[in-house]
Amino acid sequence: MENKKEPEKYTLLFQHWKKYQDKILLTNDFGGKFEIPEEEFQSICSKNCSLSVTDVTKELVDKGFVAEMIDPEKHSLSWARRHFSVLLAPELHIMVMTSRCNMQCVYCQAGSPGKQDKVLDMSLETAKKAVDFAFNTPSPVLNFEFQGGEPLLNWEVLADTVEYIREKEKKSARTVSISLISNFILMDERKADFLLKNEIILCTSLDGPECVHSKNRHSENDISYETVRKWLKYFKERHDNQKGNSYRIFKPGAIVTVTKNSMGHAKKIVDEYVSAGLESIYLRPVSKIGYAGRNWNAIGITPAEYLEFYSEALKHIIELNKKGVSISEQACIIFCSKIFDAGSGGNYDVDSPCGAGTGQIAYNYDGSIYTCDEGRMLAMEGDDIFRIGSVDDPVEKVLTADAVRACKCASDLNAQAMCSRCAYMPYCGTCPVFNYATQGSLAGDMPNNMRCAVNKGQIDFILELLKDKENEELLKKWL
Amino acid sequence: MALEITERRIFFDSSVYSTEAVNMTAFILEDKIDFVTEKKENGIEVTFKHFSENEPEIFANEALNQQCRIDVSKVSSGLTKLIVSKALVSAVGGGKQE
Repeated sequence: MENKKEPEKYTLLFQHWKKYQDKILLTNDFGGKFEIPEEEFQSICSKNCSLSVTDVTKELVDKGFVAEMIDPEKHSLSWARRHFSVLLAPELHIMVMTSRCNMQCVYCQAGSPGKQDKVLDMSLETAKKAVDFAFNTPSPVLNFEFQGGEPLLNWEVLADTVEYIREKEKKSARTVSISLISNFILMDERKADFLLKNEIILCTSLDGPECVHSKNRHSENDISYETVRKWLKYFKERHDNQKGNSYRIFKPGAIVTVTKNSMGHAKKIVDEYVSAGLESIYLRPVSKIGYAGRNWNAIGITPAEYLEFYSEALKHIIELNKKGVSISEQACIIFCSKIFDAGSGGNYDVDSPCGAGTGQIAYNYDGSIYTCDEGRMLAMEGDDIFRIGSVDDPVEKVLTADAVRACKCASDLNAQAMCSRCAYMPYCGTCPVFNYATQGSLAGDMPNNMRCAVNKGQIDFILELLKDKENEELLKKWL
Repeated sequence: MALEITERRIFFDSSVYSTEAVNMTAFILEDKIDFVTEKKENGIEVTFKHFSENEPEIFANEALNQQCRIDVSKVSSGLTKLIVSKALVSAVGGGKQE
């Protein structure tokens, strides 16, 4: 039997810390989290982080805080679980079927040019080239996401592209999913039937009760709210009554954009989702990009305002869960996935480095390819900095384009001046497009960055909630 | 005293601020703020041409930001290179495990 020699000394290994109430919160790149009294922390630091044998507890070892006792296999897997976009090829392929839109939302980032000009539609030829491009990337999983503008404005091409994807899927060993982001205004039973038979995941925007939704999402004759509710009900009923179908029908989904119009309505917005039969809500603050940026005085909110809204909404969601209502919140799931070492949370914006160009790519209507949808939206405002090629270019050239490399370097939090020491770095991520659009640099200026403030505030609040065992058990069930 | 009103100066001590950090700051702000930089024995002096309530503060903040980035990069650039390289290789299908 091998006789392992005990190390002569032990070292407390941590990369990130912050003062947390009366203690110091230490975290490491493996996702380990540990709270230590401030005096003890000062004492260890004053001794070059050396630990005595009695200081070395099982918890510290398991969480990767003892340098001499790191388990390379276990701890590198923990790292990999929360940095999935580093290890995979692009899975999310966003196809902008048209840049036209039949709505005029107050927070539009893409500056939609209205619904008339069909030169802003993707042709079938371009759509097929984009699909071929996606199938030429090496990922075994491909998620196609149709969006716009409003993708239903280019219905014929959309339907033909869906059939083309499904044909290609049959001849490949890929796992393929398709989703559609739509405002549902042009939805009818024929289209709905086609989409469901092709197993398309449907997602829309529902910003809350009518008094909030209609202020944010303007449509001709003001029919958006009523239309969204009608089709959510229809798709939910089709989902609930699918027994005997030869195809799967997925539950419909919706997302919320939180603006000044949402303030004071946190509980009502959550209740709206519950009454629509939705079991998940994704709360996101409006971004100061595109038309939303120009409209900021009317719709903008501060991080503090958003965090007050978010904490009220999340507390309400947890109370509803305790009463047996099934509803979860996506931003909380993203952070909890990382806090509980259960994965990356599946969001390319909250990853380090971000997924721009390596986890996701966006195909604009004209065949241009961008690092991500946000990069494509910026192009609609006239700035092409995140363009990485076209559907006619070789895959390798596009996926290693300058903008992809720049986004990787700028969003690796190890290289960020403020983030590299932040206790929340293992749970966080930054978006170079947001930083560039709002602060003029890919890396951004974190002390004044809205998303940094929002992410930190959300994690603060979630960690506070997790002090209660009942909350912890409840949130773990969401993962 | 008059000089204090019409011109404002910041001295960046070379024991804290590298020439690179101050130069990068000057590059970033050259089209926004009117200033002159001058190399001195123990650092760099930046003189602001016009009086403005926050121009020196903006310059100083950016210099601090740049110096932090340089310091962080000394510690983490190797790690960042590894992570970024791995991300790019994975994206194009390299390094697959059979």
